[in-house]
Amino acid sequence: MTTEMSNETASHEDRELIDKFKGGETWAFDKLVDKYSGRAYQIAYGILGNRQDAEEVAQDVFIRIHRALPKFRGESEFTTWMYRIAMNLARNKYRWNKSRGSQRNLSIDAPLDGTDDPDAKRLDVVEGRLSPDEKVSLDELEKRALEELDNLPELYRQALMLRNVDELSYEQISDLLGCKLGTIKSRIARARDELRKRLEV
Amino acid sequence: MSTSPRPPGCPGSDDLSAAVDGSLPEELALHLETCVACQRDLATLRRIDRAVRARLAPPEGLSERIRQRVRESASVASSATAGWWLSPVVRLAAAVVITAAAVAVLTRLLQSGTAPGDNLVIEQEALPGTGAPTFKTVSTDPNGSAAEVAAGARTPRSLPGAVRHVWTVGNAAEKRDRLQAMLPKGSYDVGTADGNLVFTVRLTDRELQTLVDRLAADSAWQLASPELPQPRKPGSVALTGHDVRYSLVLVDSGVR
Repeated sequence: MTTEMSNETASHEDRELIDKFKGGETWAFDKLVDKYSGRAYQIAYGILGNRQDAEEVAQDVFIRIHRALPKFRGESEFTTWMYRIAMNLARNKYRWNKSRGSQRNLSIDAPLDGTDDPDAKRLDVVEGRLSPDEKVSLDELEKRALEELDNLPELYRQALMLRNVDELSYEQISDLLGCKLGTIKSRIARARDELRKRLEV
Repeated sequence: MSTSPRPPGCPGSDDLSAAVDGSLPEELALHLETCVACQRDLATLRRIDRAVRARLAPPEGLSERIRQRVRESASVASSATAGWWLSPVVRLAAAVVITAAAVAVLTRLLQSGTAPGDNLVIEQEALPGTGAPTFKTVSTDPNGSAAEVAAGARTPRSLPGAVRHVWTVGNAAEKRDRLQAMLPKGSYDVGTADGNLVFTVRLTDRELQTLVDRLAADSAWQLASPELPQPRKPGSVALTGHDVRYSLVLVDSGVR
Protein backbone atom coordinates (compact mmCIF):
# COMPACT_ATOMS: atom_id res chain seq x y z
CA MET A 1 0.00 0.00 0.00
CA THR A 2 1.47 3.36 -1.01
CA THR A 3 1.74 6.15 1.50
CA GLU A 4 -1.02 8.14 -0.18
CA MET A 5 -3.40 5.22 -0.07
CA SER A 6 -2.64 4.39 3.53
CA ASN A 7 -3.09 8.03 4.55
CA GLU A 8 -6.45 8.13 2.82
CA THR A 9 -7.52 4.92 4.50
CA ALA A 10 -6.42 6.21 7.89
CA SER A 11 -8.22 9.47 7.31
CA HIS A 12 -11.40 7.68 6.27
CA GLU A 13 -11.24 5.47 9.34
CA ASP A 14 -10.78 8.53 11.56
CA ARG A 15 -13.89 10.16 10.15
CA GLU A 16 -15.88 7.00 10.77
CA LEU A 17 -14.63 6.72 14.34
CA ILE A 18 -15.47 10.34 15.01
CA ASP A 19 -18.98 9.89 13.64
CA LYS A 20 -19.48 6.82 15.80
CA PHE A 21 -18.20 8.68 18.85
CA LYS A 22 -20.57 11.56 18.18
CA GLY A 23 -23.33 9.00 17.92
CA GLY A 24 -22.60 7.93 21.48
CA GLU A 25 -20.30 4.95 20.90
CA THR A 26 -17.57 5.60 23.43
CA TRP A 27 -15.41 2.69 22.26
CA ALA A 28 -14.71 4.72 19.12
CA PHE A 29 -12.79 7.23 21.18
CA ASP A 30 -10.74 4.46 22.73
CA LYS A 31 -9.80 3.36 19.23
CA LEU A 32 -8.64 6.86 18.38
CA VAL A 33 -6.50 6.88 21.49
CA ASP A 34 -4.99 3.51 20.59
CA LYS A 35 -4.27 4.74 17.12
CA TYR A 36 -2.70 8.07 17.95
CA SER A 37 -1.50 8.15 21.53
CA GLY A 38 1.99 7.20 20.38
CA ARG A 39 2.16 10.04 17.92
CA ALA A 40 0.96 12.62 20.41
CA TYR A 41 3.59 11.36 22.84
CA GLN A 42 6.30 11.51 20.21
CA ILE A 43 5.51 15.07 19.19
CA ALA A 44 5.58 16.14 22.81
CA TYR A 45 8.79 14.23 23.39
CA GLY A 46 10.39 15.92 20.42
CA ILE A 47 9.78 19.29 22.00
CA LEU A 48 10.30 18.46 25.67
CA GLY A 49 12.95 15.76 25.68
CA ASN A 50 11.71 13.91 28.73
CA ARG A 51 9.28 11.02 29.00
CA GLN A 52 7.26 12.13 31.99
CA ASP A 53 6.37 15.50 30.52
CA ALA A 54 5.72 13.94 27.13
CA GLU A 55 3.28 11.47 28.65
CA GLU A 56 1.49 14.16 30.63
CA VAL A 57 1.10 16.25 27.51
CA ALA A 58 -0.19 13.24 25.59
CA GLN A 59 -2.81 12.71 28.28
CA ASP A 60 -3.83 16.37 28.15
CA VAL A 61 -4.08 16.19 24.37
CA PHE A 62 -6.68 13.46 24.54
CA ILE A 63 -8.53 14.99 27.46
CA ARG A 64 -8.86 18.12 25.38
CA ILE A 65 -9.82 16.18 22.27
CA HIS A 66 -12.43 14.27 24.20
CA ARG A 67 -14.06 17.52 25.30
CA ALA A 68 -13.88 19.19 21.90
CA LEU A 69 -14.61 16.24 19.62
CA PRO A 70 -18.40 16.58 19.76
CA LYS A 71 -17.95 19.98 18.08
CA PHE A 72 -15.28 18.87 15.60
CA ARG A 73 -16.65 19.50 12.15
CA GLY A 74 -14.02 17.63 10.21
CA GLU A 75 -13.01 20.54 8.02
CA SER A 76 -9.42 19.60 8.66
CA GLU A 77 -7.99 16.16 9.12
CA PHE A 78 -8.25 14.77 12.61
CA THR A 79 -4.51 14.21 12.62
CA THR A 80 -3.77 17.82 11.66
CA TRP A 81 -5.95 19.00 14.50
CA MET A 82 -4.47 16.54 16.95
CA TYR A 83 -0.87 17.39 15.99
CA ARG A 84 -1.54 21.08 16.53
CA ILE A 85 -3.01 20.47 19.97
CA ALA A 86 -0.02 18.32 20.88
CA MET A 87 2.40 20.97 19.66
CA ASN A 88 0.63 23.77 21.52
CA LEU A 89 0.44 21.88 24.77
CA ALA A 90 4.06 20.75 24.46
CA ARG A 91 5.18 24.30 23.85
CA ASN A 92 3.15 25.61 26.77
CA LYS A 93 4.71 23.06 29.05
CA TYR A 94 8.11 23.86 27.67
CA ARG A 95 7.66 27.57 28.38
CA TRP A 96 6.27 26.82 31.79
CA ASN A 97 9.24 24.61 32.67
CA LYS A 98 11.58 27.32 31.51
CA SER A 99 9.80 30.10 33.39
CA ARG A 100 10.11 28.21 36.63
CA GLY A 101 13.82 27.77 36.10
CA SER A 102 13.14 24.12 35.72
CA GLN A 103 15.84 21.90 34.40
CA ARG A 104 13.38 19.49 32.93
CA ASN A 105 13.61 20.84 29.40
CA LEU A 106 16.38 19.27 27.49
CA SER A 107 18.12 22.34 26.18
CA ILE A 108 21.68 23.37 25.72
CA ASP A 109 22.60 26.72 24.29
CA ALA A 110 25.61 25.49 22.40
CA PRO A 111 26.37 26.85 18.96
CA LEU A 112 26.38 24.26 16.24
CA ASP A 113 30.00 24.78 15.26
CA GLY A 114 31.13 23.52 18.63
CA THR A 115 33.00 26.58 19.87
CA ASP A 116 32.84 26.86 23.59
CA ASP A 117 30.48 29.53 24.75
CA PRO A 118 31.33 30.33 28.36
CA ASP A 119 27.88 31.79 28.90
CA ALA A 120 26.06 28.74 27.65
CA LYS A 121 24.28 27.04 30.48
CA ARG A 122 24.52 23.34 30.44
CA LEU A 123 21.32 22.36 32.13
CA ASP A 124 21.15 19.11 33.94
CA VAL A 125 19.55 16.61 31.73
CA VAL A 126 16.70 14.50 32.96
CA GLU A 127 17.22 11.89 30.30
CA GLY A 128 20.72 11.79 28.96
CA ARG A 129 21.06 8.24 30.11
CA LEU A 130 19.97 5.36 27.99
CA SER A 131 16.88 3.45 28.94
CA PRO A 132 17.25 -0.29 29.60
CA ASP A 133 15.54 -0.90 26.29
CA GLU A 134 17.98 1.27 24.43
CA LYS A 135 20.96 -0.36 26.08
CA VAL A 136 19.81 -3.72 24.81
CA SER A 137 18.61 -2.88 21.34
CA LEU A 138 21.13 -0.29 20.14
CA ASP A 139 24.74 -0.81 19.14
CA GLU A 140 27.63 1.37 20.27
CA LEU A 141 27.38 3.85 17.45
CA GLU A 142 23.67 4.33 17.98
CA LYS A 143 24.16 4.81 21.70
CA ARG A 144 26.75 7.47 21.06
CA ALA A 145 24.39 9.04 18.55
CA LEU A 146 21.81 9.48 21.30
CA GLU A 147 24.33 11.07 23.62
CA GLU A 148 25.34 13.48 20.90
CA LEU A 149 21.70 14.11 20.08
CA ASP A 150 21.22 15.49 23.56
CA ASN A 151 24.13 17.84 22.92
CA LEU A 152 22.66 19.34 19.78
CA PRO A 153 21.19 22.82 19.99
CA GLU A 154 17.50 22.66 20.56
CA LEU A 155 16.22 23.75 17.15
CA TYR A 156 18.24 21.07 15.41
CA ARG A 157 17.42 18.37 17.89
CA GLN A 158 13.69 19.14 17.75
CA ALA A 159 13.62 19.17 13.95
CA LEU A 160 15.42 15.83 13.70
CA MET A 161 13.21 14.25 16.34
CA LEU A 162 10.02 15.43 14.68
CA ARG A 163 11.25 14.05 11.37
CA ASN A 164 11.35 10.66 13.04
CA VAL A 165 7.85 10.82 14.47
CA ASP A 166 5.72 8.22 12.72
CA GLU A 167 4.15 9.47 9.54
CA LEU A 168 5.06 13.10 10.08
CA SER A 169 5.92 14.68 6.74
CA TYR A 170 8.21 17.63 6.10
CA GLU A 171 5.14 19.70 5.27
CA GLN A 172 3.47 18.83 8.55
CA ILE A 173 6.62 19.59 10.51
CA SER A 174 7.04 22.97 8.86
CA ASP A 175 3.38 23.71 9.53
CA LEU A 176 3.68 22.73 13.19
CA LEU A 177 6.91 24.59 13.80
CA GLY A 178 5.74 27.60 11.82
CA CYS A 179 8.83 27.57 9.59
CA LYS A 180 9.35 27.40 5.87
CA LEU A 181 9.75 23.99 4.35
CA GLY A 182 13.28 24.84 3.17
CA THR A 183 14.26 25.92 6.67
CA ILE A 184 13.11 22.63 8.12
CA LYS A 185 14.85 20.54 5.50
CA SER A 186 18.05 22.44 6.03
CA ARG A 187 17.83 22.19 9.80
CA ILE A 188 17.35 18.45 9.61
CA ALA A 189 20.21 18.10 7.14
CA ARG A 190 22.52 20.08 9.39
CA ALA A 191 21.49 18.12 12.45
CA ARG A 192 22.28 14.88 10.67
CA ASP A 193 25.51 16.19 9.28
CA GLU A 194 26.68 17.44 12.64
CA LEU A 195 25.85 14.19 14.37
CA ARG A 196 27.64 12.23 11.67
CA LYS A 197 30.74 14.34 12.10
CA ARG A 198 30.73 13.99 15.87
CA LEU A 199 30.40 10.25 15.58
CA GLU A 200 33.46 10.01 13.39
CA VAL A 201 35.79 10.95 16.22
CA MET B 1 34.80 19.93 15.10
CA SER B 2 36.51 19.74 11.71
CA THR B 3 36.66 16.89 9.32
CA SER B 4 38.03 16.93 5.81
CA PRO B 5 35.71 18.67 3.36
CA ARG B 6 33.65 16.47 1.10
CA PRO B 7 35.41 15.53 -2.11
CA PRO B 8 34.04 17.17 -5.26
CA GLY B 9 31.44 15.00 -6.90
CA CYS B 10 30.19 13.76 -3.56
CA PRO B 11 26.79 15.05 -2.55
CA GLY B 12 26.47 17.71 0.11
CA SER B 13 24.74 17.20 3.44
CA ASP B 14 21.38 18.40 2.06
CA ASP B 15 21.39 15.71 -0.61
CA LEU B 16 22.49 13.01 1.79
CA SER B 17 19.77 14.04 4.18
CA ALA B 18 17.20 13.83 1.41
CA ALA B 19 18.56 10.40 0.55
CA VAL B 20 17.92 9.21 4.11
CA ASP B 21 14.33 10.33 3.63
CA GLY B 22 14.05 8.23 0.51
CA SER B 23 14.49 10.89 -2.10
CA LEU B 24 17.36 9.63 -4.24
CA PRO B 25 17.81 11.25 -7.65
CA GLU B 26 19.36 9.07 -10.30
CA GLU B 27 22.79 10.73 -10.45
CA LEU B 28 23.15 10.37 -6.71
CA ALA B 29 22.14 6.72 -6.87
CA LEU B 30 24.80 6.15 -9.50
CA HIS B 31 27.41 7.95 -7.44
CA LEU B 32 26.61 5.84 -4.43
CA GLU B 33 27.22 2.66 -6.35
CA THR B 34 30.92 3.42 -6.52
CA CYS B 35 31.68 5.86 -3.69
CA VAL B 36 32.55 4.00 -0.52
CA ALA B 37 32.81 7.16 1.57
CA CYS B 38 29.28 8.21 0.69
CA GLN B 39 27.92 4.74 1.26
CA ARG B 40 29.42 4.80 4.70
CA ASP B 41 28.10 8.27 5.46
CA LEU B 42 24.61 7.40 4.32
CA ALA B 43 24.69 4.27 6.46
CA THR B 44 25.70 6.37 9.46
CA LEU B 45 22.86 8.78 8.86
CA ARG B 46 20.40 5.93 8.68
CA ARG B 47 21.65 4.53 11.96
CA ILE B 48 21.31 7.93 13.57
CA ASP B 49 17.68 7.99 12.52
CA ARG B 50 17.24 4.49 13.86
CA ALA B 51 18.57 5.58 17.23
CA VAL B 52 16.30 8.62 17.26
CA ARG B 53 13.29 6.44 16.51
CA ALA B 54 14.27 4.12 19.35
CA ARG B 55 14.44 7.11 21.69
CA LEU B 56 11.00 8.22 20.51
CA ALA B 57 9.36 4.86 21.15
CA PRO B 58 6.27 5.40 23.31
CA PRO B 59 6.34 3.71 26.73
CA GLU B 60 4.45 0.50 27.42
CA GLY B 61 0.84 0.94 28.37
CA LEU B 62 0.65 4.55 27.25
CA SER B 63 -2.63 4.12 25.48
CA GLU B 64 -4.31 2.38 28.43
CA ARG B 65 -3.15 5.06 30.83
CA ILE B 66 -4.42 7.81 28.57
CA ARG B 67 -7.80 6.14 28.16
CA GLN B 68 -8.04 5.84 31.92
CA ARG B 69 -7.14 9.50 32.45
CA VAL B 70 -9.70 10.61 29.88
CA ARG B 71 -12.37 8.56 31.64
CA GLU B 72 -11.45 10.08 35.00
CA SER B 73 -11.40 13.58 33.67
CA ALA B 74 -14.70 13.10 31.87
CA SER B 75 -16.41 11.89 35.03
CA VAL B 76 -15.08 14.75 37.14
CA ALA B 77 -16.07 17.25 34.48
CA SER B 78 -19.59 15.91 34.23
CA SER B 79 -20.04 15.75 37.98
CA ALA B 80 -18.76 19.27 38.46
CA THR B 81 -20.95 20.83 35.81
CA ALA B 82 -24.09 18.75 36.04
CA GLY B 83 -24.09 18.45 39.74
CA TRP B 84 -21.90 16.87 42.30
CA TRP B 85 -24.11 13.80 42.50
CA LEU B 86 -23.46 12.15 39.18
CA SER B 87 -20.01 10.62 39.64
CA PRO B 88 -20.48 7.10 41.04
CA VAL B 89 -17.58 7.40 43.47
CA VAL B 90 -18.95 10.62 44.86
CA ARG B 91 -22.48 9.31 45.04
CA LEU B 92 -21.48 6.56 47.41
CA ALA B 93 -19.42 8.88 49.57
CA ALA B 94 -22.16 11.46 49.50
CA ALA B 95 -24.74 8.87 50.41
CA VAL B 96 -22.87 8.02 53.58
CA VAL B 97 -22.15 11.62 54.43
CA ILE B 98 -25.60 12.99 53.76
CA THR B 99 -27.24 10.24 55.66
CA ALA B 100 -25.09 11.12 58.63
CA ALA B 101 -25.77 14.80 58.14
CA ALA B 102 -29.49 14.25 57.87
CA VAL B 103 -29.41 12.27 61.06
CA ALA B 104 -27.50 15.08 62.75
CA VAL B 105 -30.00 17.69 61.61
CA LEU B 106 -32.91 15.53 62.63
CA THR B 107 -31.41 14.94 66.03
CA ARG B 108 -30.90 18.64 66.53
CA LEU B 109 -34.46 19.35 65.53
CA LEU B 110 -35.85 16.66 67.71
CA GLN B 111 -33.89 17.94 70.64
CA SER B 112 -35.16 21.47 70.06
CA GLY B 113 -38.69 20.20 70.16
CA THR B 114 -39.52 20.78 66.55
CA ALA B 115 -41.30 17.97 64.91
CA PRO B 116 -39.62 16.60 61.84
CA GLY B 117 -41.58 17.53 58.78
CA ASP B 118 -42.30 21.05 59.98
CA ASN B 119 -39.09 22.57 58.70
CA LEU B 120 -37.59 19.74 56.81
CA VAL B 121 -38.55 17.97 53.69
CA ILE B 122 -36.78 14.68 53.61
CA GLU B 123 -36.90 12.65 50.47
CA GLN B 124 -35.46 9.25 50.26
CA GLU B 125 -34.29 8.38 46.82
CA ALA B 126 -32.09 5.73 45.41
CA LEU B 127 -29.59 7.24 42.99
CA PRO B 128 -29.50 5.34 39.73
CA GLY B 129 -26.66 2.91 39.51
CA THR B 130 -25.68 2.72 43.13
CA GLY B 131 -28.79 1.24 44.67
CA ALA B 132 -27.85 3.11 47.84
CA PRO B 133 -30.66 5.21 49.24
CA THR B 134 -29.78 8.76 50.20
CA PHE B 135 -31.54 11.41 52.11
CA LYS B 136 -32.00 14.60 50.24
CA THR B 137 -32.83 17.38 52.62
CA VAL B 138 -34.10 20.83 52.10
CA SER B 139 -34.31 22.82 55.26
CA THR B 140 -34.75 26.26 56.70
CA ASP B 141 -32.43 25.38 59.53
CA PRO B 142 -30.85 28.66 60.66
CA ASN B 143 -27.66 26.80 61.51
CA GLY B 144 -27.07 26.05 57.89
CA SER B 145 -28.71 23.50 55.67
CA ALA B 146 -27.90 19.86 55.87
CA ALA B 147 -26.60 20.07 52.33
CA GLU B 148 -23.96 22.55 53.43
CA VAL B 149 -22.98 20.34 56.31
CA ALA B 150 -22.70 17.46 53.92
CA ALA B 151 -20.63 19.50 51.46
CA GLY B 152 -18.12 20.35 54.11
CA ALA B 153 -17.53 16.69 54.76
CA ARG B 154 -17.00 15.87 51.08
CA THR B 155 -14.32 13.30 50.24
CA PRO B 156 -11.25 15.11 48.86
CA ARG B 157 -10.81 14.75 45.10
CA SER B 158 -7.65 15.38 43.17
CA LEU B 159 -7.90 17.99 40.45
CA PRO B 160 -8.09 17.05 36.78
CA GLY B 161 -5.37 18.06 34.35
CA ALA B 162 -7.31 21.14 33.31
CA VAL B 163 -9.57 23.46 35.25
CA ARG B 164 -11.61 26.30 33.89
CA HIS B 165 -13.01 29.02 36.12
CA VAL B 166 -15.12 32.04 35.28
CA TRP B 167 -14.53 35.01 37.54
CA THR B 168 -16.74 38.06 37.59
CA VAL B 169 -14.86 41.24 38.36
CA GLY B 170 -15.70 44.90 38.55
CA ASN B 171 -13.08 46.11 36.14
CA ALA B 172 -11.57 43.46 33.96
CA ALA B 173 -8.72 45.56 32.60
CA GLU B 174 -7.56 46.48 36.06
CA LYS B 175 -7.87 42.91 37.26
CA ARG B 176 -5.93 41.70 34.25
CA ASP B 177 -3.04 43.91 35.34
CA ARG B 178 -3.24 42.61 38.86
CA LEU B 179 -3.24 39.04 37.69
CA GLN B 180 -0.29 39.63 35.40
CA ALA B 181 1.61 41.03 38.35
CA MET B 182 0.86 37.89 40.35
CA LEU B 183 1.99 35.37 37.77
CA PRO B 184 5.60 34.75 36.74
CA LYS B 185 6.51 36.43 33.47
CA GLY B 186 6.16 34.23 30.44
CA SER B 187 4.34 31.55 32.35
CA TYR B 188 0.90 32.33 31.07
CA ASP B 189 -0.99 33.06 27.88
CA VAL B 190 -3.69 35.68 27.52
CA GLY B 191 -6.38 35.32 24.95
CA THR B 192 -10.00 36.21 24.50
CA ALA B 193 -13.15 34.17 24.24
CA ASP B 194 -16.54 35.71 23.53
CA GLY B 195 -15.12 39.12 24.38
CA ASN B 196 -13.77 38.04 27.74
CA LEU B 197 -10.12 37.86 28.70
CA VAL B 198 -8.88 34.34 29.27
CA PHE B 199 -5.66 33.60 31.12
CA THR B 200 -4.14 30.18 30.66
CA VAL B 201 -1.45 29.21 33.10
CA ARG B 202 0.08 25.98 34.26
CA LEU B 203 0.38 25.59 38.02
CA THR B 204 0.66 22.83 40.54
CA ASP B 205 -2.62 22.01 42.25
CA ARG B 206 -1.30 23.56 45.47
CA GLU B 207 -0.44 26.80 43.73
CA LEU B 208 -3.84 26.85 42.10
CA GLN B 209 -5.65 26.45 45.41
CA THR B 210 -3.59 29.31 46.82
CA LEU B 211 -4.33 31.49 43.80
CA VAL B 212 -8.05 30.82 44.05
CA ASP B 213 -8.01 31.57 47.78
CA ARG B 214 -6.16 34.83 47.25
CA LEU B 215 -8.39 36.02 44.46
CA ALA B 216 -11.56 35.14 46.31
CA ALA B 217 -10.33 36.99 49.40
CA ASP B 218 -10.62 40.17 47.36
CA SER B 219 -14.30 41.12 47.35
CA ALA B 220 -13.93 42.50 43.83
CA TRP B 221 -13.46 38.92 42.51
CA GLN B 222 -16.42 36.55 42.39
CA LEU B 223 -15.90 32.96 41.36
CA ALA B 224 -18.85 31.99 39.22
CA SER B 225 -17.88 28.40 38.47
CA PRO B 226 -18.55 25.46 40.77
CA GLU B 227 -15.57 23.32 39.73
CA LEU B 228 -12.82 22.56 42.19
CA PRO B 229 -10.78 24.12 43.59
CA GLN B 230 -13.17 26.34 45.45
CA PRO B 231 -11.92 29.07 47.77
CA ARG B 232 -11.50 28.42 51.47
CA LYS B 233 -12.52 24.80 51.29
CA PRO B 234 -9.51 23.01 52.74
CA GLY B 235 -9.96 19.29 52.55
CA SER B 236 -12.12 19.37 49.45
CA VAL B 237 -9.11 18.91 47.16
CA ALA B 238 -6.53 16.15 47.50
CA LEU B 239 -3.34 18.05 46.77
CA THR B 240 -0.71 15.93 45.07
CA GLY B 241 1.58 18.56 43.58
CA HIS B 242 0.67 17.65 40.03
CA ASP B 243 0.40 20.23 37.28
CA VAL B 244 -2.93 21.70 36.31
CA ARG B 245 -3.63 23.81 33.29
CA TYR B 246 -5.80 26.62 34.62
CA SER B 247 -8.03 28.71 32.38
CA LEU B 248 -9.23 31.83 34.10
CA VAL B 249 -12.00 33.71 32.31
CA LEU B 250 -12.40 37.32 33.40
CA VAL B 251 -15.93 38.59 32.95
CA ASP B 252 -16.43 42.27 33.47
CA SER B 253 -19.59 42.85 35.49
CA GLY B 254 -19.62 46.51 34.54
CA VAL B 255 -19.84 47.54 38.18
CA ARG B 256 -17.14 50.09 39.02
